[in-house]
Amino acid sequence: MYSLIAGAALFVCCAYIGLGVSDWYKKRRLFFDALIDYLDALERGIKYAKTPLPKLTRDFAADKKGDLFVMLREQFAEDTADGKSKSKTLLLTSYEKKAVSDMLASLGKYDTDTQLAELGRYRALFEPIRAASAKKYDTTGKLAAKLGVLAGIAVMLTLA
Amino acid sequence: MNDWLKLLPDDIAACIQDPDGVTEVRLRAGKRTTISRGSGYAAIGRTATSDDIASALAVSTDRSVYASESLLAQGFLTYKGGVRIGVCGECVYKGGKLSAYRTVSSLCIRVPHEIDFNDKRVETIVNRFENTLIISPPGMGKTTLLRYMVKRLSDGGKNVLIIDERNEISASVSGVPTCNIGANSDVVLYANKRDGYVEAIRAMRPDVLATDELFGKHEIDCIADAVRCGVRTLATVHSDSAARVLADPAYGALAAVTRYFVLLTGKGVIASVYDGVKKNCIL
Repeated sequence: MYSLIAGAALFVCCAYIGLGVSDWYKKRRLFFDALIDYLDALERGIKYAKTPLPKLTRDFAADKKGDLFVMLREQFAEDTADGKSKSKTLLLTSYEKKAVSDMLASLGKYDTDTQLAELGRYRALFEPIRAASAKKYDTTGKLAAKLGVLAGIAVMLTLA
Repeated sequence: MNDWLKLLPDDIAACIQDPDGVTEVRLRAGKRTTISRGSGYAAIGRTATSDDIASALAVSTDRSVYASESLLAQGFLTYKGGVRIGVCGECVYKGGKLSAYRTVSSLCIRVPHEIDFNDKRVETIVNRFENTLIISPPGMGKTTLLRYMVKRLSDGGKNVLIIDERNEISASVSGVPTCNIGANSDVVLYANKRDGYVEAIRAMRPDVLATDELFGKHEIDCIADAVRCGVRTLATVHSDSAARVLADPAYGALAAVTRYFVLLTGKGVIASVYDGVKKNCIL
């Protein structure tokens, strides 16, 4: 009886770890997908309509992709006065974090051509990271989920 | 109140004591910030950086400098409360026309102050309003007097149409004037004078048409045309004497239709008011 309970508990633990690792890769992929979508929206809005940045961002956030800003808030929470305790799993390396921060700081400070050139520069920086994070999720992330569940089942069967 | 302080970096803004009295702030990349309270300049705070200037531009354009490119190409921006920001820097030309400033190296932030022109001569003009021209060198309060007279005329029941080419008179934000321009004023923003006159006079049927800083023969002709349409006009022009304006052939059409010439010689100081019909100064 005890071994069955222990087996079930270990199954839950293994599966939780595996799914957690998978979820980390998934969130990272989603973050960079949303970031590139935001860059697309900015480029379109600035190039064709010169839409002011607050409106561009509001429209983008209203279009379900507001998750980007929730994730940004989480990633940069430790930098805010009251955010340290709210800070969740860090998805970005310090290099990526600085690049995102510089990109956001550059918004709205330049004329159209310079602003588009800046966005293009950041796109060139983030596109490979997005591709790599998507690939990582498809391979490592999904594998980690499967391994976690399988390892859990194996442990449970062994103990049973 | 003193929203313009947001244009400055926090540490520089903190160095300004009694911001209510400040009339001008100059931010220059690589130099110390200077402020003026009407006469002379005093250096304050640390050396300004190009990033400070970029941030000021971002704040003044609601973080959308690219959206204000057409204004910027004319060398100025406006901010809440009628604050005018003159810009200077690296120009970008497209098709032979100045299209933008890529790097802005200097800002001249001019903070307007409401002046109550408690002057009998101004009251005379407002009460018996005829075509009026305000004359003064730059920085003497032309726009302030124009706005004051617009407010008085408008509150007195006249429909005043303001052709606000640079958003200096009404300082509108999202279409709402932030300066007091009276109850019966309408504003045409950012239109050149010709388009403003042609379209708005037809559409809005104003009693008085007000505009700032006439420059060049075509703008003077616009005023003359408006008078021909039966509209009274209130305008300003850069000069240091009414005699010079009257003698200049370029201003001939304007002088012919103008009744009152108001000359400002000091900050908000009315030196004389000349009646072009009676050929004497109003006392």
